[in-house]
Amino acid sequence: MEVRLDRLTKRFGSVVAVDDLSLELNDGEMIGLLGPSGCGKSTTLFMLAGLLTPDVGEIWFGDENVTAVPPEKRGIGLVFQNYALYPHMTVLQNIMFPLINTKVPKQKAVVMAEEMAELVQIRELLARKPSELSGGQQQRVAIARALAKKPRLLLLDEPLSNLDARLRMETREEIRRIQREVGITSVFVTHDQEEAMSISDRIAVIREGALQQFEEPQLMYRNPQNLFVAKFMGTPAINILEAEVHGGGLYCGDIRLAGANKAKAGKVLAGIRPESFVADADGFAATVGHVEMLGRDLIASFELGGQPVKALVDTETILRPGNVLNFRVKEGRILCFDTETKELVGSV
Amino acid sequence: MMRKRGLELGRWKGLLYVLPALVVVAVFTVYPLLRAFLMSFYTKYKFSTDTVLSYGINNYTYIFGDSVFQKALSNTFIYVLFVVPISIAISLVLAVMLNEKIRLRSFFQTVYFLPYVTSVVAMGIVFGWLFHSNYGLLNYFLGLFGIQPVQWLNRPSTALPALIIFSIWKSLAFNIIIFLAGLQTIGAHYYQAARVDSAGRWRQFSRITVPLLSPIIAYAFIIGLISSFKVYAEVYALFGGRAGPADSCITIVYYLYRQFYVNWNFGIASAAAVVLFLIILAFTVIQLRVAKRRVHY
Ligand SMILES: Nc1ncnc2c1ncn2[C@@H]1O[C@H](COP(=O)(O)OP(=O)(O)OP(=O)(O)O)[C@@H](O)[C@H]1O
Ligand SMILES: [Mg+2]
Repeated sequence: MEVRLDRLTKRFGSVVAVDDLSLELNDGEMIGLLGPSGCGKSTTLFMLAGLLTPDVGEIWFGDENVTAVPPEKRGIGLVFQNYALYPHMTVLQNIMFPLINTKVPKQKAVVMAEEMAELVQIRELLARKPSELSGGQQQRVAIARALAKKPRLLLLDEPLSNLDARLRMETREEIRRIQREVGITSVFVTHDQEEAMSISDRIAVIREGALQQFEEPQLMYRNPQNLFVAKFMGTPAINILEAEVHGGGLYCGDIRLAGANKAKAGKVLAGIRPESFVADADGFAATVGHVEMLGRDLIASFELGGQPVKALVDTETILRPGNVLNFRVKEGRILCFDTETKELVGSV
Repeated sequence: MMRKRGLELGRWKGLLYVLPALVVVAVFTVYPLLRAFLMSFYTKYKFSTDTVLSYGINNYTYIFGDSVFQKALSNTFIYVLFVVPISIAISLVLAVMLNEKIRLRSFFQTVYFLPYVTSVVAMGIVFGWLFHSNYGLLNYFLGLFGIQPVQWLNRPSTALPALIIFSIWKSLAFNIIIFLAGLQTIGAHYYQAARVDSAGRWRQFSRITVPLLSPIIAYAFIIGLISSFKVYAEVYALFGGRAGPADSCITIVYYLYRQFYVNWNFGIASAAAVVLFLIILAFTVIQLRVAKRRVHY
């Protein structure tokens, strides 16, 4: 089912939690709703669920306007951040609860619930109470409950934030598998950009309730529309340098970073990802200040035109503070942002 | 060796700390209990010299043969049977309503708490007026529906129902207070989940609220049972010191009181007290058993 959010606004008193937000989701697509804490992700999700009503704007499921439809009648599945499993019911009863409520006969409900348990691989846990499950298992039960009534739309509110790092990775692959298998349109809320990139077909980045960019993960990483998105995506974070275009080149201090024939002369903010630096004997020289080991890669800190920079270096070389390296920046990988509007103006 | 001595010392020290409390409990709780138990077996007793002339079970055979005590027993059981469940049911519904985000919420909460801090005697007087056959509000309302005035407090057949209505109303406050406190602890996300899971208002109440509140409901049941089996002040207040018309509202404690202070039959009163104690004990044990099986999580 296609879903359309049309210019949604939601206020809480004087706080604008969601600000004129429009999104269109394709059928079967997994959308990542990404943004820092308090940016309005949960509010958006709860409006999709019908638990909150937008002050302005409309929500369309297919060609049905559901803006005023209560959650009971929306046919959505919602996985809460803390799972919200009913503590007094067994796993089976939890999964069956939405089915019984929609008048599915008990026998059939049991069969459907067992199918769901199969899908999320918790068959052997059906008789247990939520308090007897681990975080990851509770998480699966919550997904099974959300999917049991065959919803038209699956909403997940930071479903992995209570899990440890390893389990988080496993579970997000699992969620992706289940979502593909069911083929359900889904919205996945997270404040973790890595999680969003790994799980989503497209990511919507939100800041203070307003949409910043809505794009496929790779394209968004490559071409962030503004400085906020650029800084938000990727670890280690993108380097932002004060730079200037003059005489057909982009300069940072005295160092010429790239040719810029077509660019307008003047000051810009240059965004360079740490992995965009490559060793080059003809490049600029940099004295390594601090070295950080990440396993496969090393992060070298140095100064570029008097400004601090971090670059990713491969571990073949033994690097020590004080060493001098020569770098250049990969062609076309310097993102230039307007100093005033912070919007992307081009790349060189 | 040293450690053992230290432990021993610690134990004595601990005992020393709780000694004052133990003494108070012993003097004011354990001793009277034992005394009453013993007294229930005195068959000949001189109060003036505190000498017991003979022991026996005559007091017990007497009360079980006494039609007034039988009346008191059946009244008390009927009373408990109606007051406890009805009060809990009504308080539960009211507490859920008071817990909603309604206007004047704290005003209504205060109104429902008032009976809890008001004297039973004052409430008895007010209800005396409400139940009054000529001027009473209750009969006025019944009159609106064309029902003849009922002599609520003066007829044996209606006196007990009047007492039950009065007691239900009086016990609402306490139950509402603890239910409201319990409702605060149920996270809003359960209701959000239930709505998404297509549960209507009734199913939210019956499948979420009641089970999640079940420990508190069980607690209210036990407290309600114990205090209702001991009903006395309500009778006294509603009927101005009598046990209702023609003893129609006599209860176990009222019987006990009369035997002790009015008739000076200390042995009989004690026997009644022991019987009441055993009844309450039995019900509490049963209740706890049931609660353990039904109150899950
Ligand atoms: N019920 C409410 N009453 C008042 N303000 C609220 C309410 N719910 C949310 N807000 C405010 O709206 C803004 C957005 O909140 P929201 O919960 O949607 O953020 P979020 O993006 O989900 O954050 P997080 O990642 O921390 O969960 C915040 O400033 C928050 O304080
Ligand atoms: Mg949130």
